This record gives sequence, C-alpha cells and structure tokens, in this order.
Amino acid sequence: MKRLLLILLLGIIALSACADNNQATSEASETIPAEYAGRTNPLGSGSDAASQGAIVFQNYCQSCHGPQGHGDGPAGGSLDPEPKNLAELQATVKDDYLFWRISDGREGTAMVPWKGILTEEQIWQVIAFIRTLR
Amino acid sequence: MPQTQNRAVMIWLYIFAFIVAFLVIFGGFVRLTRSGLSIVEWNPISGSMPPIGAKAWQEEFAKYQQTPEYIKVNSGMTLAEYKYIFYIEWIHRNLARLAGLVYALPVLYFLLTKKIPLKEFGIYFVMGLLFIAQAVAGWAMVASGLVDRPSVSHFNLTIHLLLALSLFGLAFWTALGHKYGFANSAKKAKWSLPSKLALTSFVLLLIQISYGGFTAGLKAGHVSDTWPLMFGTLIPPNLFNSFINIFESPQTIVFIHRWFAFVVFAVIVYLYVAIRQQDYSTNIANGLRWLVAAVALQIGLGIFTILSHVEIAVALAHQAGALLLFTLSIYFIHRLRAADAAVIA
Repeated sequence: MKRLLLILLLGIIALSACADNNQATSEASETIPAEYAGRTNPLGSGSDAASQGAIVFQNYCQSCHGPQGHGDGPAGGSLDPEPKNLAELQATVKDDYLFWRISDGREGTAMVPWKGILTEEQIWQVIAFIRTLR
Repeated sequence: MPQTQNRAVMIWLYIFAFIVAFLVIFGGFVRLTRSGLSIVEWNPISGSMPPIGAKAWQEEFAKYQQTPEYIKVNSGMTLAEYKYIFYIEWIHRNLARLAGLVYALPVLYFLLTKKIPLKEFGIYFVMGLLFIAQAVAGWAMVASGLVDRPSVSHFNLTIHLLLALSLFGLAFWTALGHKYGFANSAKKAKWSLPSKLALTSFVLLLIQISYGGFTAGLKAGHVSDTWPLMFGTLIPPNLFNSFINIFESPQTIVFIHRWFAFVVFAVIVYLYVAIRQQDYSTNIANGLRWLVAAVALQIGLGIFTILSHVEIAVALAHQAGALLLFTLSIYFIHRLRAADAAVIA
C-alpha cells in the first residue's frame, strides 16, 4: 500500500513538473512578430534602468502582478487567466518577448497593450526591473 | 406615431421592456464571466436545446476547442468548466428567444384584435426590426471573437449593448405614451430649457454608456485599481497623444469613462436646478431628486467597481445602475415634453 502511494505521489510530482515545464516553455515557443523579434534591451541590465523601471512597475503593473512580480497583486486575484508570474517568466524568455507582450498585450486577457501609454524607454526600464525579479 | 391608448398594450410593453432590461444585465454577466464565446454556432431554433448526452457534449466542446479563445487563453479547460460557461451563454440566448416570443405573439394578437390599429403599427414594427438587428449584432459580436483573436471586438459589443438599449427605450417610451397619452403630432411643442437639458443629459448618458461598453469589451476596468489617481497621477501622460486612443486605447477609454461621468452629473444637477426655479409639478420636481441620487449612486458604484478590482457583483450593479439612469432619463424627457405640450394646449 505504501509503495503504491509512493508511486502515485511520484507520478503526481512528475506530472505537475511536466505541466509546469509546459507552461514555462509555452511562451518561449510563441512566434514573436518581426517588428519585435531579436530586440534586446538598449539600456542593458544596469541598476539605474532597473530602479527607474521599479517606479514604472509600481504605478502601472504592480496592482496585477504584485510587488515582486509573482502574479499575486490585489487586482490579479479576480482575473481569469491569472496574471503571469514574471519572476518565473523572465527566466524562460528573452527581452524581445517581454517587449512584445508589454507593448501589444495579450488579447483575451486583462494584459492590455502599453505601447503609446508607456514610452519605449519606460518599457525597457520595466524589463530591466523584471530581470531583477526572483 | 400611435395615438390610441390601451392598458393591455401598455402592460405588455412594460413586461417586454423588463425582459429586455434583464437580458441586458444578464449580458453583463456573460461578459464578466467570459462565457460569450462558448457556443460557436448560431442556430436560432435548434440551439434552444443544450447538448444531450456525453457524446453531444464532447462534440460541442470539440468545436470550442478549435476557437482562438480556447487555444490562446483557455487551453486546459475541463469539460465541466466548459459546461459552466456554455450554460451561461445558453441562458442568455434563450432569454433572447423568450423576449422574441414576448414581442411577436402579443403584437400579433393586438393587431388581430385591433387593439393596435394597423395605421399605428409603425413603431411596433420598428421594435421588431430592432429585435432582429439586435440578434444579428449579437451573433456578429460572437463571430468577431471566433477568428484569429480570442476576444470580441469592443465596437461590436457596444453596438450590441446600444441596440438592446434602443429596443428597451422604444418599448418603455411607447408604454409611457399608453399610460400618459401620446404627443399630438399636429402641434409641435417648443422645447423648454429643462427639456433641452433632459435631452442633453440623455445624449451624454448614451456616450457614457458607450464608453462603459468599450471599457467592458477591452477589459479596461482592470488597468488601474485606484481612484481618483490612475497610475499614481490624476491625469496620466500620453493618454491623448493620438486621436485613435479615444476609441482604441484601454487606458484612454477607461480614463474618459471615469471622468465623463461627472459631465453627466453636472448637466443633471443643472436640470434639477432649472426645474426648481420654474413652476413644474411636484411630481417632476421631486422625481428629479431621484435622478440626481441615481447618477450619484452610479458614480459611487463605478468607483467601487474600480476599487473592488471589477468584482462581478459590483460590476453588475454598476451596469444595472446605468440601465436605471437610462430609464429615468427617458421618463423625464417624456414628462417634460408633456409639460411643454401642456403649455400650448
């Protein structure tokens, strides 16, 4: 009986690991539009850009994504689908993906486009901040 | 325009208007639960029955699994979860079918029994056309979310809402005519200041409701959960740096929706003051207090919707509040125009 439970438990862990892995890689496998593909953060990953980005993030993103970007902001609880955990996401995607998603949003979700509202520089600053999230 | 008052027709119109009003509020529930794209076909007759049996459900679910919404947003949804959103949309569509029957059968009966004289049928015919247009617009809205994009067009959603309100408004206006008497088309009454203000506030209210539709369609209510500040400031930068933002940018649209409410409020307060300064019946003067209270309540509900992170019950109450304001506005235009007509009588 104990062995059966152990096998079941291991199976569940393996399945959930696969599910997490699928989720993490799904963004990486999305086709980034040509206008964004290959772009890298011109501000680099310096602390100056990140600290500016933290201010922008606090005003525009934190309510849904949470102060540490874990997708646990107060406004995120009622959202379906839930806001992304940016700390996890940033480890699996490149700058161009983040720049695309922040600029154009994701249709069908509450992630609206920020292009035009945030300047390009502000978006890169936010990305620099997101890169610091753990 | 009709001239013949009839109590039975009046009651029918009130009931029909009530069903349409309920349909509008339930439509808000469909939107808020993201159920609107769950039924991917439009079958006005056969669609009145839900799938029966496991095989039929699997087939229906398989059709939904081909949609952009499932592929891009809801992948991994279970059949049980699908059934939940299916039934919400299915109830909405069946309520519309009920409204269609509540329109068509009585209007036929009243025509046959001459309670509605044939020469006065025009306005009831327009109601029928509006109902059909509304059904087509509803399907066009759903169809806009079935190809490429996983959400409906906010323009289509707003047209669907405004057509429903037009149908409701026309039925309610005509019911008021049956209750209080119809305007004499031969004698055009001059528009008094209060009547002009009531009409102005009604037009402004329609603009505000349209922006409410845009806000819902773009999920723009979620972009900021603070009030009066938005993104930490009273007037966020870049909202109006492009004309198209007024119709396309969720941030700009929700900003307009937040503050245009106070323009509507100001005109209604002005209307109230104008009425108090003139010799109107106490019914109208006291009734306008309710209109002022309703618009204040509606603004409060709007703010609460923001602060509650668009909690479904609060957002629905906000939508019901818009309908209440719309109803009161029509009522006061009707009564003020009757007062204008009484002056020349």
